[in-house]
Amino acid sequence: MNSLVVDAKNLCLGYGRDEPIITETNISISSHEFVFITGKSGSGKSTFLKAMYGELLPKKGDLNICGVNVKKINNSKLNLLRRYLGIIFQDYKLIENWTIEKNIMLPLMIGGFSKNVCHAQATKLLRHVKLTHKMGKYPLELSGGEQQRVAIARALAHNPVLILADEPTGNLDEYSSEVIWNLLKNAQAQLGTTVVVVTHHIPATIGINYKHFFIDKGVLYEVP
Amino acid sequence: MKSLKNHLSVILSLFVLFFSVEFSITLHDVIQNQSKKLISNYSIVIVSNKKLTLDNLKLKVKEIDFLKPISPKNILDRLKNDMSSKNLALLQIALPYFYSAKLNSLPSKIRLSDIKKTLMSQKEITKVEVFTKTYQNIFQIFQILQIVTYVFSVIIVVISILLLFKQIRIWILEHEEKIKIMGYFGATYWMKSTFLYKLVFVDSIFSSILVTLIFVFLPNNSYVENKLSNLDILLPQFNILKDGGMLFVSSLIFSMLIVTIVSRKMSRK
Repeated sequence: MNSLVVDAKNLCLGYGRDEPIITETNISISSHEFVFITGKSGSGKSTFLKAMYGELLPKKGDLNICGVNVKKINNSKLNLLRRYLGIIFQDYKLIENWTIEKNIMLPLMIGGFSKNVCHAQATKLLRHVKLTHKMGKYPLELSGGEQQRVAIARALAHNPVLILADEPTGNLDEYSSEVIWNLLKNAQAQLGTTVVVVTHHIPATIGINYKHFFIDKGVLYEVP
Repeated sequence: MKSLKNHLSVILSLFVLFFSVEFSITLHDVIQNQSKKLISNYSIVIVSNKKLTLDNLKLKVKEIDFLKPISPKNILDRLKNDMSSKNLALLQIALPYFYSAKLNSLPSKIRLSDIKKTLMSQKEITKVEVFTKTYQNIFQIFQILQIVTYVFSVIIVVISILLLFKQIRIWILEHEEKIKIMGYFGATYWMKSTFLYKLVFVDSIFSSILVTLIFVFLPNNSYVENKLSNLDILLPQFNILKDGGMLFVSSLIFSMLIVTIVSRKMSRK
């Protein structure tokens, strides 16, 4: 039986003293699953993802990520938890004055791996995302699609348990989007990583079994 | 160019800060030396009916460091031709005891007046001469100079600290995105702040070298040396290893403390 990677119980999320954006949500995501979270703009998709990587603490209820309750988490435990996650952002969030190779090496450097291991893994991942020829380049020298491939390589570098992707194809053309979806599908299929993607719409050509949650009026429903 | 400008603002702030501190220390040493010179040339004259001892006087006035009897021989020698030897012998018996008392520090005008009063309150002491004016003016100039220097140093230190705080804030804001991204992948505080500590480490080296250079070359500069020797002032020698090392360590500890305060404060926001 697959273990639970994400487990939310009566979860309420919101900012400051404002009304909660997500209310009374109960969901669970098992390992190796590919999950889509969809909803209208401003429905709270990204808010839910932020809570999953500990950027936002639950107002009420519990949220367990990889067995850790993020409601009661302190800074050092949060840092440890994040070493098991791979986060992909719509705006890539690559460090501009680092080469793409160094960007990919970031989670490994944080994990305390030796320079040789970091370099070997970065080279392997650059080959995997078909960017070996751009190795010494800086993020701003790359196209949007290429930057997102680097971001995926970075998210995969440390073999995370869970990949969280916030609208990973939001800024990309059709061809680049296709490449990104394939990379994410491969990560789930080949590495067994759980993938949670927040997106406006699920691509018709995705071609895999996936779980789909839809956010409406602050509540997450599983779409059968 | 921008990076150089950023470095300069920290190097200059640290340089000004430690230059003013080192300058105050040097001036303090110079004034201490001058005070010692002044005190070695200064003494109080005490006239007494009875013999005095240093231990007894020290009980009344703790500043008295040395008591030396003044021989009346010179005065009596001058009177030799005008008086008979019998009268001279009588005079010698009748003459009081004269003492020169040296102090261990330069007392203020008020303290000196207290010392005079305390001594005069002793039955056996008939007269005390403290020669206030001869040294008080010089001493007061020293004191004023020292106070003014301290005040200016404190102002400079405060301004430099504020500048350092501001520059480190700017550095953090410039690297905010990078720090955030590192945080998303689980970087600890130290991992996220290493670059700041590296920057201030380099800047501490440069600023302490600058201050050391000035304080090594200044006392050996012929122009400065001439001017100061005319005033009978000798600048203390700056020991590159000991004083320069102390300067570097202080600069490093100080700047790292500021980095820690600012980055901890900003990471809490």
